[in-house]
Formats: sequence, C-alpha cells, structure tokens
Amino acid sequence: MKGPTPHSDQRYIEALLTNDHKVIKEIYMKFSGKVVAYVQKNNGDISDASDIIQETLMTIFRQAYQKELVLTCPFDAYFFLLCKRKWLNRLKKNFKNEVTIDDNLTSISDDSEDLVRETEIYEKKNELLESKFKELGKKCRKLLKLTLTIKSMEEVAKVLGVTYGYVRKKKSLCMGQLTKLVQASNAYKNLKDL
Amino acid sequence: MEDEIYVLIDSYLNKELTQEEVQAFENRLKNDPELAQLVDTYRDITKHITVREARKGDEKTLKETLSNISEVILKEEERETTAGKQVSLNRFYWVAAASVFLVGVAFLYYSHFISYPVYSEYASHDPLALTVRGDEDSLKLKAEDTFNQGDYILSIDFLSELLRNDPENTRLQLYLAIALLEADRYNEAKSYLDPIRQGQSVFKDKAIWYLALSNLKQKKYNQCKKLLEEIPDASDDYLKAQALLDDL
Repeated sequence: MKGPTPHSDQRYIEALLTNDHKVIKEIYMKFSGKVVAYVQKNNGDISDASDIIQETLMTIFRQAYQKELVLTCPFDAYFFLLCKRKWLNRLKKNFKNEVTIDDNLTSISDDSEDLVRETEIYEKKNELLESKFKELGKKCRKLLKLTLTIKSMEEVAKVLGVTYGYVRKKKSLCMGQLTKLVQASNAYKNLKDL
Repeated sequence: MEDEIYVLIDSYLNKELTQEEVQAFENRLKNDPELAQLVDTYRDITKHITVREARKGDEKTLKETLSNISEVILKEEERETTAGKQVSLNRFYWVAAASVFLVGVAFLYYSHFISYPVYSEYASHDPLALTVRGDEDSLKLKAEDTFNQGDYILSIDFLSELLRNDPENTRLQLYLAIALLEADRYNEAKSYLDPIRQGQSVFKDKAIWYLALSNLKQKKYNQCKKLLEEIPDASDDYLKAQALLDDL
C-alpha cells in the first residue's frame, strides 16, 4: 500500500527533523503571528504564545521522528489548529470554566482534522508512557534505557558489571512492572479506544 | 509465574523463540485477548523507550534552536508592543543620568580641564542571562557568574565553549565580544561584532554601540563618533550614544 502524497509544506517537517535553522526561522516568520494574535485575544500574552508554539513544534518533531508524519494539508492549517487547541486546553485546565472563549474547543472541521487528531493522540500517548516510565525505580529506568539502546544484553551486563542472566530477568521484571502501570491507567484505556 | 510471562513476551518480541515456540505462543494469543493486549502494550512501551533514547540528542538541539529563534523573532515583537512602557522608564533613567552628566560637565568647565571621555565611564553592561528557571547547565551558569561579576577573562573561556556548541547564537557572540573588549582583545571582539552589525538580529544596535566603545577604548575618537551616529533614535542605546557624542 502506498501512502498519501505529501503536501509541499512537508519541508517544514523535514526542517524540524534536520534542525534546519533557515527554514525553522521561516516557520516562525510565517506562522507565529497568527498564533500570537489568537493567544493574545484569548487571555494570554506573547510569552504564552511562544511556549505554545515551541511545544507544538516539539510535538510535531517527536511524532515525525517516531513514525512517518505525512502532511496532507497546508502546514499553516495543521500548525495553527494544534497551537490553538493546545492553548484552549491549557486555559481550560488553569481556569476551569472561569474564562469565556470565543471558540468551540471541540470543533475541528477542515481537512487538517485527521492529522491534528493523530498528532494529539500521539502526544497524549507519549506523555502518558513518559509519566509511567518516571514512576519506575531508578535502577529499572537505567536498565531499560540500556537494554533498549544497546541491543546486546551481554554488553549491558558488562556495562553494569552483572551477569547476563540477571539482566535478562531484571529487564522482563521492569518491563512487566511498567506494562502493569500503563495498563492500569484510565488514560491508556481511553487512548486505546480511540 | 507472572514474571515468566514477561520473559516469554520479551523473547517473543526479540525473536528469540524457536519456530515451534512461536507457533505455540501465537496460538495462545489468538485465544487469550488479555495476553494479546499485554503483548501490544509491551511492544508500545518498548518502542517508546527505544525512540525516546534515540532522539534525545536531536530533541535537545532542536529545543535550543527554537528558543533562540523564538527569542529573536517573538521577543522583538514583545519589545515593540511594550515599547511605550519602556520609554517612560528609560526617560526617567536618562534624566537622572543626564543630571549626573551635567554635574560632570560643570566640574570639567570649572576646573578648566578638557579631556576626552574614557571607556570605563560608559562600559556598563547588561547582565548576561542564559539560564532559565530550573536550568542546571553548569557551563551556562559559570559563564553568567563570571561575566556578571566582572571576571571577563574567565568568562571568555566559558562563552567560547558555549558558542562552539551553538555557533549561531547572537547573544553569546555579543557577550563574548564584550568580554574580549574588556580584555583588550579588540580584533577578536570586532570579528564577532561586525557580523552582528551587518545582520538583522535584535542585537544589531548593541553591536554598533560596542564597536564604538572599542574605538573609544583604543582612543580612535573619529571612528567612535561615526559609529555612534549610526545608532537609530528608536534604539535603546540612542541616548547613551548621544551622551557620548556630546562628550566627544
């Protein structure tokens, strides 16, 4: 099966992956104004907007790094919608229902819809796994990082100064613990249902 | 028992089982949705940690790039929108500075002693701020501490090293140039200031101001004057520049 043809704005996503200063600057020049204006209109300031933009670009980068992110709509629409929804979510979290917003949070209704939803699910899942990983003990975290970056368990055993059998067993135990933590969380169940 | 299932899942996902074992395990998966889900989650987590570790370096680099670009582009916008507030503060500050200056002029007049202004009277630098709240980058902290305490020679090493990791960072370039200027290393300072002066960053006017100060320190008064005249009147450094021009 061949995937969809990327939009010509795909180059912005490539730029994030390759840390291309020139093109990233272009992203800011072209697309940040709209986000800043939106945040300012909705109880925020430039520094809030700057945070939202940065977080959104980091999320896009993470997703693109992990699995192919093919832009099927203009970057502008995708990026703005992500920023906007991120800001509205933050407002909702910080002020509960105290602020009135001139927009409906649930309305995503153009061609960037699917892509935005996909990125948001990716981000939520990433945050969830990250927070559960941090709940593990220090030893487990270190062991998992090592066993999953250094492919050979013999080598990991050598680095840690323990036996191969120990690493093998301990890895499964730590992974088991983490799997249980993740499966017990409601957020994970909800993500699975999406 | 429970631990064994994880050993088994791990071996299965790492393709360490024999063909028969794989077959048996996959049959189990078909009949046991709970186990199948466990394997899914296990796979998800494995992928998450593997990718997380692999992209760590790139992630850090990108974060720095975004901070720098955002600083230049968005902070500039912020400066423009809050310029109103700053003008009143600056005005107050400069009225005070001008009074001190006038007293100085009067003193010079009465003492019938005419001399050129000296570098040290004008060389007050904005503190260097590289770290953000919670930042524990020790190199950045060292650069800040040494610079802000006036240990410019020491700060040169730290700033140079930071700049090696982040060669495009205009703020680092500017502060390294100031430290070099303090150390009388004029040519090196100039090599950092000239490109900033030619560029379009927020530090453009500051670079011109410091090039002027460099000439002042070297007693090249005419060059100093020419540079000062380049500083636009909307610039933060305009009043300082005018004061020094009058002095010259």
